[in-house]
Amino acid sequence: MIRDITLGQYYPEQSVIHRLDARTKILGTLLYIIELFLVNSFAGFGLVILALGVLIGISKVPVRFIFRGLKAVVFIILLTFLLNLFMFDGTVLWHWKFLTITYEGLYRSCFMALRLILLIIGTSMLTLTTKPMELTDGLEKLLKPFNRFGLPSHEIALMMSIALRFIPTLLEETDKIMKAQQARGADFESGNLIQRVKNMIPILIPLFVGSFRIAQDLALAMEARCYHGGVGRTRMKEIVFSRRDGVAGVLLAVFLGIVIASRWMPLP
Amino acid sequence: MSITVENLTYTYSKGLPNETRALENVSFQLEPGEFAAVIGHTGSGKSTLMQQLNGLLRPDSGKITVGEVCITDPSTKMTEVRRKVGLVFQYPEYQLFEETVAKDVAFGPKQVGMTGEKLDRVVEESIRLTGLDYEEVKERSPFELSGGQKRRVAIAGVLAMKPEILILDEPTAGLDPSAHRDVLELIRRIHRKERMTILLVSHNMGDVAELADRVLVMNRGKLVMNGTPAEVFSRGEPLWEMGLGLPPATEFMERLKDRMPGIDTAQLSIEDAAKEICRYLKGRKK
Repeated sequence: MIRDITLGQYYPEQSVIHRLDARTKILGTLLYIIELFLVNSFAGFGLVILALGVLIGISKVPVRFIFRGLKAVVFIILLTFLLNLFMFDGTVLWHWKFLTITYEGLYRSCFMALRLILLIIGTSMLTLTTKPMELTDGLEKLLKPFNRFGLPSHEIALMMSIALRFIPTLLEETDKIMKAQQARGADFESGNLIQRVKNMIPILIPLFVGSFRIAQDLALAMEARCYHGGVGRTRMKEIVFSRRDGVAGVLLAVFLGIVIASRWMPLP
Repeated sequence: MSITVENLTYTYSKGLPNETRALENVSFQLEPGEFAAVIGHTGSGKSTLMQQLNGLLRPDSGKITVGEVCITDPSTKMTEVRRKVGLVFQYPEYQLFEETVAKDVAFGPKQVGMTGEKLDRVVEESIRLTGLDYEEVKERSPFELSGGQKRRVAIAGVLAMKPEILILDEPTAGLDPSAHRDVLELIRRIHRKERMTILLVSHNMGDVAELADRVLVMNRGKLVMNGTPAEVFSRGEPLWEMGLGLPPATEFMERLKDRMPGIDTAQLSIEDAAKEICRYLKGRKK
């Protein structure tokens, strides 16, 4: 169901990964994304999967929990896969009317789907192991140097953390509204595509109205606690890099090196 | 229409770390036209039970029979069940979405295939039944109404499906006293006029004592008490322990007991409590 979407959720656990500085994890995730696009062979992906596996193992987040998050994006992955499958010229493997599958297309589509899956799993590890508050603090500190160029780093960080914070709330709200409309006879499972989109209106409008309500309440609650933006704001817990983060940094750098080196290796 | 629930068990997030047993072996039966109230602490499984009764959730085990139909049978058509069992959720005004009140109320009956004049008539009837002025509100946007009015429109939306059983999940939560009274009055009116079987979830013991013929008490997913309001509310101790309470009149009498030994504390309404106190005082004078 809709509750299965784990994107942006935090999984409370005591692990080294959880205790790492948020900045290390954000930069690590960025590196990871870059690495995914540097990889040009399946063996390279093997390396990435291995590293990701070790990371998940250390983080103690159950694999089942992570994979549940994939369910929600299966459609996108499938679409990418199919689009790539039929779009490449080369050695024909299978042909039917206007549909042609080539060896290159098959290779390409598996490659893209794998990349997408790894992208989603890897990036969800960031939010799974980092509390939204830490994430915001980390992001704000990372963006601080750009303040000089007129970038409102505090506001950006706040906006992002609010967005993350309200994903589960909005999902819950959607679930509730869906049930309420189902109780009134709404049907979301049958009909053609246009019909189905139309059937979404009874969910979308209350959800839209609801999010305005939530936003208004939140703004009021913030003002009631004297929120006035980032200027002059101090924090109770200053985030500092520790030895752990040094070790993680070195490991990340080494891994980046390996990935780059793998580009020139004659691998499948 | 009657409801029979047998050995109902349901678990949320089965097989995950946050697995929770929401219902455990719940059994009860409601006669046609009966007015039952469900009380229980937050998280006791009330809302889960309500959603089982019109097939929004499917039980892990157990059986629910509504009228003649076994709704837990996989081959049963859920749309028909949902028409017969109207469910008014908590804060139902958040589900309003149409441009006008009349259109919103018409959503449910339209979904079950009502059209034309019959539809218009049902919409008008339902809005009037909730005590709103049909001519005044029908063309207005539901979003510009007051909280109490919105809630009544939402209830009208469920009534318009002509259910034979009506389930209300805390229909008075968050309303001001006058809207609270209006909604209670509306429920009473529906029960009397349409002879519907009603199941009301409430945290307000006073309302429960006033309206219900029967009280079901839920605690940690189990049905722990099932009886008339007089029976259930005579057991103050266990209710307190479950984080519940007594109707104001009964609680008042309980406290009075120390000063007036021998007084009959089983009074559900303020009127009855007053009578009993008068009787007691007269008796003492003699």
